[in-house]
Order: sequence, then C-alpha cells, then structure tokens
Amino acid sequence: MSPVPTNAAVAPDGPPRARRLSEEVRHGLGALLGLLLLCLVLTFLSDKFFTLDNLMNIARQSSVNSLLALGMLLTILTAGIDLSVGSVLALSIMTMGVVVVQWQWNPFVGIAVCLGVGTFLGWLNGLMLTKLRLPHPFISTLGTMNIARGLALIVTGAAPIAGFPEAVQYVGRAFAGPVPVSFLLVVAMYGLFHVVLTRTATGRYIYAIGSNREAARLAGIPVDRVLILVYTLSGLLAALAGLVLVGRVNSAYPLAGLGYELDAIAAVIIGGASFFGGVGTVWGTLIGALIIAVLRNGLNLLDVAADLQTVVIGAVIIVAVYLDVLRQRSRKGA
Amino acid sequence: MPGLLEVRRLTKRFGGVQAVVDVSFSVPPGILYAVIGPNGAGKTTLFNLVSGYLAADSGEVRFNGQSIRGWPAHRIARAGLARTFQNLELFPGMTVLENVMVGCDARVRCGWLDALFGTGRRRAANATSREEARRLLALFSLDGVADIPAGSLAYGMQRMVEIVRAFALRPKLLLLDEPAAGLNPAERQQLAAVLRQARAQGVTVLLVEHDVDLVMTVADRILVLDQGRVLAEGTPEEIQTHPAVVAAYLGEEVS
Repeated sequence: MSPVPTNAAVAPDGPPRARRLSEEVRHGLGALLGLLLLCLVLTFLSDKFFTLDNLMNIARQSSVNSLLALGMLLTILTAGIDLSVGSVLALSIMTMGVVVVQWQWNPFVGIAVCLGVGTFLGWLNGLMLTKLRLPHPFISTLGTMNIARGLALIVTGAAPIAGFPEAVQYVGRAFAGPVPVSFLLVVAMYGLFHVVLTRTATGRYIYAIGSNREAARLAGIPVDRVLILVYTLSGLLAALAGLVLVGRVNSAYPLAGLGYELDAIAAVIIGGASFFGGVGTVWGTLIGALIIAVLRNGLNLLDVAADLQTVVIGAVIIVAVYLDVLRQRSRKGA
Repeated sequence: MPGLLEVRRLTKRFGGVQAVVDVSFSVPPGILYAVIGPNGAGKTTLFNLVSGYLAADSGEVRFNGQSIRGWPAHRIARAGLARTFQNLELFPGMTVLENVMVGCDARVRCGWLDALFGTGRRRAANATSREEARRLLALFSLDGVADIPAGSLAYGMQRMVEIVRAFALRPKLLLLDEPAAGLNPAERQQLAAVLRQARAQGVTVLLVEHDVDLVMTVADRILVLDQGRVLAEGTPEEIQTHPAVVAAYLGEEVS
C-alpha cells in the first residue's frame, strides 16, 4: 500500500459508520448484481429456470461447493490456499463407507469418523505449513491432495461404496418443506462463520495475518496457532461437504471431489476475496458459489455441452476479477 | 534500582564490520529513553538485538529481570515488549479501529472455541476490545479516523496508528524505531504529543531516532552511539554540552 501524501482520509464524506457500511455493501454488490442479472437473463431464456423446483435444485447442487468454498475462503483470507479439499472429501467419505457399510458400525459413529478424518487431514496441513515451515500452503496442500487421493483409491481398491443407511444420507438427501436440508446447513455454517470473522478476535486475527503477517506476529497474534486452526476448519468443512455429497448420490467413490478445489477457489474469487489475503467476506463467497451453480444449471437448461460450460466459467472468473481490478483502480485514482 | 531493560556488554559483528561493540545501558521504568547517533552508528542493529530480532555475538539483554533470548515474537510481545518498525507494518485493509483492536485482543482472553460456540464470552471479549480501542484512539486524538481503512490514511497518520496499536498491547516497554522518519514538521509535533501521552500513561519508551531536535524535547535520558560504541549517556542537558558529542555529532558551535 503506497502512502498517500495528502491528508486524504481526514475528511471522509459522511459519517464514518455509514461510509464503512457502504464500503462493505459495494464490495459484495458487484457479485450480487451479477447473480441477479444472470438469473434475470436465464428467466427470459428458459421457462424452466425460475421455478421453485429448479431453484431448490440449484440450492441443493450448490451446497457441496459452498461448504468447500467456505473453508477455502478462510485459507485465502490468510493469504494461503487449500488444494487438498477435493481429495480430503474423497478420503473422508471412503473411510466412512468402510466403517458404516463394510463394517456395519453405527451410522453416527461413521459420520464422526468422516468428519474426524477431514479434520485430521486439515490439521496435518496446518502443521506442515507452520511446524515444518514449508514455504507456501500451495506445496503442503498439494502434497496432501495427492496422498489423500491415493489413499482414497487404496481403501477399497478403487471400488465405490453404495448402500449407506438413512441417517448418513439425511443431510444430503432430505428436504425441510421445499428447502433442501443441505442448503439449510450451508446457510447455518455461513452464518456461524460470518459471526466468527466479523465479531471475534479469531476473525480479526485471520484478516490480520492475511493483511500483513509480520505485523500480525508483532501485534502478539499466535500466527501458527491461527493458521493451524484455519486449515483444520477447511478440512472439517471438506468432510462435511463429503457427507452432503454421499447423501445426494448415495455412494462414496474414490474419485469424488476431483477438481472441486478449483470450483471452490473460483467461488471465493468471484465473491470478491483477494488472492493476496486480508480481503473477502462470507456472503461474497456464498454469492460466488451460487453464481457458479446458477451458471451450470442455466447452461444445462440451455443444452450447452459440459465442455463449453467450463469455458464459460473460466471466462466468468477472469471478468469478475478484472471488474474488481477496475473498481480498485478507480478508487485509488480518485 | 535495576532497570526494566538491562543491556550488558552487547556486541554484534556482520562479517568484518563491528556494528555494535560492548554497549551497556539501563532503562529505568517509566522514562522515555532515546538512542541517537549518525547513520551507520549501529542504532538499528542495537534495536534489533534488544527486541530479539537479531542474536548477539556476546553480551546480554535482560527484560523485566529475565533473558528473552530465543523467544518467538508473539511471546515477546505478550511478555510486555512491543515494537514498531521503520517501515510501516499495519493491516492496510482493516480499519484503524480494527487495527488497534487486534492489539487489544492479545490481552482479552477468548479462545477459538469461545469464538465458535461460547457466544456470551465471545461477545463480552469483543465488546471489551472495541471499547478499549475506542478509548485509546480518543486518548491519542485519532478517534476521527477510527472507521477508515488504515491503508488509505496519510503516511504520518499511519505511523501514529502503528504506535497506538503497539500501545494497545499495554507493553511495559515500547520500542520505537525512527518514528519521526518521513514525517513533516506538523506530524512531528503530533508524534511528540503521542510519545508524551504514552509516557504519561506509565509506559516506558525506548526510542531510536535520527531527529535530534525531537529527541531533545521529549527524552528523559539519551544514549549517543558512534561507530557502534557508546559515546555518551545522560540527560538532554548533559548531552547537549558533552564535549565529545558536540565535537562528533552535534557540530561545533559557531562563535
């Protein structure tokens, strides 16, 4: 951040509270407008789009990526990344499959095992980053990504596991009225982490570390502990996403979640978070995840081939970030 | 009375260069102690040795009666030794208030489990940090910019925020590395007021500074370094009339 030579900030326009709020709103506004515009266009292009069934379908389809993106947001806020979420998801549900289906253990023990495996792998990610002093989480989580994927294949010799009990499938399958339970889970988790990030010391620590790691250390923040927590939570959320996926497809398969880390990163970035840490909101990320889900759903309704969908999503990422760059440039130049 | 900070026979070499040689001094609690000297005198090296950033070749630094050698930075900070840098180290995207709150958080005990689940304790801790940060900003006359992102402040203001954030840790000793660097005269006056306020609040300040005029007006005691060695030590009055200092550093008076 280059120093501003004049007393630029001494005369804020309007009362500071309002200004701060408008800053936050404006930050998320671009993504929200994009989402609304997208929905509007799709409503005109396809009469199947704006129906309760389809919207709930989108809510359901977006939940896995939304949960992964939430964990990803935490790591990106600290100027890190977690490439292992897709593989952690796979190993968590494969382990659960062995415990619940093959060994016939209690389904709730299976769910605990699933979440436990994810949490443990996330904790390892954090430990490798901070205690082994690997230079960047890109490396530690790239390693975990391969290890977890390999183990997920080894567990059953690459065979999928089906036939999960009702209790395991509940979160991913059930509806509360018209609303999928998985989406309610997403909203609850996002609400929880919104509070953590905006109203707790831990939240401030996360932003502070991403904003200026050296300054964070000097301000008395236990940087290593916070980073370990962040990667542990990312692992836990990946396992939770796995639980939702198992309920939706009634199967655990070793290639589950392959490439999902990229959709999660895309959601975080489209949602306005900075790749360099310190900037980003929970709601922006949720909107980012919804944009991707709506885009995929809309392109499906319009019979656009899956390959071309990937091209479109790539373009959306670039446009979204470019708009953000333009916005920041105009603010600095003003 | 033993000093809050005791430096004994500290020496540090970089290759063949003797940056700090056999430096000893003692900072009693509650005073504003300044280290001055020309460029290359070893001020910043001394500063880094004292704050635990560099390991000394020989000699000892004792803070509050114990050696802090090898402690991690956040432990040193929590033990009551806070520092600022010549280069600004703020959280540019966060507001001034949030920057200072981070300093307050270090003293408000609230674990991450509280943060996730224990809403009562979390709320209380957060409110305490916020109130304390607001109080400090008011104390240092920075309340007008509390809700502005720190990165968009003028340079001099950012420096004051950095000092207030360090102050929010309630340090026993506040180490400031050339706080007046890059400030204009008006900002220097404001800085002097901030330093006096910090001392009035009972915080011991160790200041490494290039600006002799500032040091002469705010410091209680001054240590003069020259080529890594102690040239003189005493009150501003003593330093101003010390023959060796006058000859080597302040310049001879034109009569």
